[in-house]
Amino acid sequence: MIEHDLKKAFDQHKNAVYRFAWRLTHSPAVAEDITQDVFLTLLRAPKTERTPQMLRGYLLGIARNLALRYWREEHRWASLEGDASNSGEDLLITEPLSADSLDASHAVSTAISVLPPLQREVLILSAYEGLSLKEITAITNTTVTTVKARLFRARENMKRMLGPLRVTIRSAQ
Amino acid sequence: MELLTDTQLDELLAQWRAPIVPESIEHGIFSRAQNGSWLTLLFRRTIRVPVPVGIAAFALWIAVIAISFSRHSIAPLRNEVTLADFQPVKEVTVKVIRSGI
Repeated sequence: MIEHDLKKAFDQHKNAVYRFAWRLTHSPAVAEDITQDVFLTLLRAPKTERTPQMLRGYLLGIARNLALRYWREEHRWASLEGDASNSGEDLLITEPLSADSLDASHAVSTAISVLPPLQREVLILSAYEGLSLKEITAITNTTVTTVKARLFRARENMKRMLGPLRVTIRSAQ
Repeated sequence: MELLTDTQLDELLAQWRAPIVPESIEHGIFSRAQNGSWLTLLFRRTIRVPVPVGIAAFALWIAVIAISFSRHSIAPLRNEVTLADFQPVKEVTVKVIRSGI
């Protein structure tokens, strides 16, 4: 890929890639590194004709793999699941978040950071990037059934964690 | 414990907004893209070769190796030539084959 094409791809997809990396890692610095690496990987990749939608999925897939590598290097699997061999697909969180804060944005961010990575990525791709199950399946290299199950568990966990926050907001109104 | 509905959850999720993309990312990407030395490119660059061309190149390579080996394996000529094994035929058996006219 030549630099002109890279520039075009960057302008079209920089927001999606950075947002996704930032939400996955909760770190602006890591998200910045991942975004740079995603587009440099694209520069070195063989030139292939892709629609903008396909290119977006391709770039998010690279970002996802880089984020997974980051997690592994930081041993975040162990800290989230307590067992590095378990990807956390089945984990159900029963404890609600503390409802001390009325800052919904902060609460959502915290709740998502507590989710197991595999649940987190499907929730972000679905809720924030608006991708279909089929597109998420291609990015996460799994089946539609698996994506559905992870998304269901992620949403159930989020409902459990954010339930008290909703009560607090409602009572404050 | 009260659970949220799907609509309530979606409303809450929408509250978490991502920051705008820092400008430093673009600078970082294009400076790193331009700073790649020719040696780095030489080792990282990939070449796409059509399968028939690849197979032909591989076959040619195998043929070249085979020819070079066969040249080295030719037995050297003997200096002495002997007719010791060259004997006349001991028994001659004549066999007449008639044509089917």
